[in-house]
Amino acid sequence: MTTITRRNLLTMIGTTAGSSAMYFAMTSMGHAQPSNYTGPIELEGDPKGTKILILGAGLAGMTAALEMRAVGYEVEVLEYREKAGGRCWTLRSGDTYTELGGAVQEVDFAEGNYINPGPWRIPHNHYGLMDYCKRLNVPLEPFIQTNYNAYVHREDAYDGKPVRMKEIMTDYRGHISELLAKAVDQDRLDDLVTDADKQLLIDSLKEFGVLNDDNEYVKSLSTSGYRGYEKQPGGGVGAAPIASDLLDPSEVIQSRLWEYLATHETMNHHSPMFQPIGGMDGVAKGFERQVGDLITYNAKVTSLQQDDDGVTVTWENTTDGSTQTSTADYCVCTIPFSVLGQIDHNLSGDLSAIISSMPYNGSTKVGLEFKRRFWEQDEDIFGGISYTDQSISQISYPSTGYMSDGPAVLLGAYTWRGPNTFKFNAMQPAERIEIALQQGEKIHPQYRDEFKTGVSVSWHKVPWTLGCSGIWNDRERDYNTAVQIDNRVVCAGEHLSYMSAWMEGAILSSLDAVSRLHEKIINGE
Amino acid sequence: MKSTFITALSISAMAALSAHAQTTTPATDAYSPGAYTSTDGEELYQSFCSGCHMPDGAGAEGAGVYPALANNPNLEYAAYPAYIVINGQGGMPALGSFLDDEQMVGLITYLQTNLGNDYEPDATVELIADSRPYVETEETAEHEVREAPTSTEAEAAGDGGDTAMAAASAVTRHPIPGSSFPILLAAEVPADATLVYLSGTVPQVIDDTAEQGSADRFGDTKAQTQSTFASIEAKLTSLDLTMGDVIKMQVYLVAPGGAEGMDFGGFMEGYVQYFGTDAQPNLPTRSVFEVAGLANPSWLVEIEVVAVRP
Repeated sequence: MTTITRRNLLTMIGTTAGSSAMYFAMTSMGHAQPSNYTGPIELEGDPKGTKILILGAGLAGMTAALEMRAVGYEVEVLEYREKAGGRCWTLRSGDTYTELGGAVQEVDFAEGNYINPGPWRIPHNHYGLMDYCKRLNVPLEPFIQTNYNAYVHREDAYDGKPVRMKEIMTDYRGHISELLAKAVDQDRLDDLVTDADKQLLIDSLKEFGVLNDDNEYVKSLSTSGYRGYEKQPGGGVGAAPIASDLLDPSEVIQSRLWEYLATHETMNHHSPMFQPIGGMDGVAKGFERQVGDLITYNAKVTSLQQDDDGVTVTWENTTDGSTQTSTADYCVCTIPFSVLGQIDHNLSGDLSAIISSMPYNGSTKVGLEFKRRFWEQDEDIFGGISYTDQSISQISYPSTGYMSDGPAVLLGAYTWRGPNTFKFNAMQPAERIEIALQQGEKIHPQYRDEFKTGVSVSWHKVPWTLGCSGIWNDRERDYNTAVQIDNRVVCAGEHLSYMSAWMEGAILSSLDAVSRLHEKIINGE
Repeated sequence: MKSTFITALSISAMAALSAHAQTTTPATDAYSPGAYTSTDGEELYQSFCSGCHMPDGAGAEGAGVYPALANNPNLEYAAYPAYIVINGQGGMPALGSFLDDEQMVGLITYLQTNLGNDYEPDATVELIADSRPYVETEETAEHEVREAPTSTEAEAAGDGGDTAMAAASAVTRHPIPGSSFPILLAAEVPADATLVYLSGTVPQVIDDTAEQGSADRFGDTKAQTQSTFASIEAKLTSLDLTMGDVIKMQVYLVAPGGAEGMDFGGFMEGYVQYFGTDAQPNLPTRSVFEVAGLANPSWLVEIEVVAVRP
């Protein structure tokens, strides 16, 4: 009998079904990268001094600047802000942030503490971004997404008391496994399970749900080994472990706390996740080290016009109010559509219609600095996220600086669209912080005593985007039109990707736009 | 001093922070998480819209702008803000699902009568309902599918057994369910009906002493609407038809000089004198478009109608 190893299986598939079948087979077995990032782009051909004007020095704009200069283009970048990065942004001690409406926040965190108001974690499968971090020498450290010792909380469950995620997870899994194992054992799923598979399924449920020999999920040292003990095993005298009580099955189901278990299982949140050491703007700074000399800051674009000869962009120098003009042969426009739609441009009708009808969603973050790491010191929570049904939606503990004394910053609120986002948006910064404290103290009673300072960002009030990320009214209908090169202008950014609001979307969009634009310039197509 | 703002946690300290805001912001102790439940227009505005348009309606400017709602002529008629709030515009998301019809009326009434605006509030739950995207209900779908072959009027006349005769005799006008907005959901025209298409009709000069090209010569949008419908009525009469035979209308409006958009309210004032009145209760289906310009720069209105010969 021939043993089918993985390797000769792949050979068989490759021989009989062609190389694309082999690629997909490899992907499903975890060998190849399931992404349209295929490594650093290689642009071939001499652009002979062709000039590219790039609007926006966020990740899409700087990706374009880096790659197009590398192949020989003359590149100029205009940026509205006083620094590079766009939404890839970190607020740290000494920073001042003025939101729309005029409220000024002076960040009073202790030295070294920070909050990332925009992107804050990097999935390991965002291959383009990961590769740029490597190439740009942006040091990464693990971002703790999943912490089973963090809490899940709903105001209407368990008297509003937070429950450790490990308890809900293990008990939920155990109770449903018991139900299913019993159903199989009692022949109630005969229509669905073959006789041959029945015992295997029961075996797997025993393992998955930590069931005993009678297919029951019961209080035991075995189950405590997953959900936590009454008293943990130790060493020396009196070291024997004591098993913990289980949560009632019906209460576990009714609590709805299982809603928070699946987040970690999505591709974008699989462990390991990463963050740049010292703040997400490490990514922006990595790009800026390469292309900062090409960027004109404090440049507010007011007009984008193209004709058969080139592109003309009019912009205001916001430091002195003067009006300036930049010209180029081609343009990569990464300005968010929420802003581009208000700029005088002569892009073609179909593209223009999409630009003018892309809403931007809102999101709120609140960074809270506390005098000490009570979540670590009192509650043994080291990084990770607690989830709640309150407006703040989650509390994320810092994935760095463990065990250190002195103040530390956690993410005290993170809303995403919905009425709570609009309600936070309508508040002043100190009000948002107060709500974050009111809700957070239901999970951590230490909040009030330990609070030191805070900062909050509501994305509809961020002056350079007016929102968090683009929303498609009808992506299926509009996407292919929006990403086309419009004569001499091509748009790029997270809004022109299938990874909205992720940095990877901005980078992949830009790489694709740059490749196609280069192809057109070199080969005239 | 550095941390004055961010450590200020009492509501009284908020005053310093909202130096830019002319009105108060919602107090944190009045904050209720989740869906909007209030029907109070001011409360809704301050806890929802004010984040972008600002508590005093002044709007804001960054790389782009949030338009000012204070002293905004687009708020004169509720139809415009109702449409924008429900469907969104540009970067503004569609917000209709957050508020029910009654809340929308409260909000729009607040906009029309506050923030420096002093318009006669005209929002009604019917107007709001009509502004929402049309969602086909099961009942309507059944109605369209199953009743389409015969006309209700024919059935009423006892001609249900002879569908050909019945079809020749009547148009079925389907009103918008639950709405008094004076247009139809649909007009159902029998296959053998005679349709009469009128060319686009334009306004008449109402003041020939006014200078050529001046706004007074044809009047404002309301006046131009009235004179255009008067012309249409005359044309229909010459064809042995009446305004009551109109089943379909397309209206093209130009923004009056100095205005940011078309004067929809002015058009409506002219329209309701001809359709849905006691003397002429029949309503047509209708579309209204804002266009960049018409053949004569003084024209603000051009209207096409389709009539069915009875």
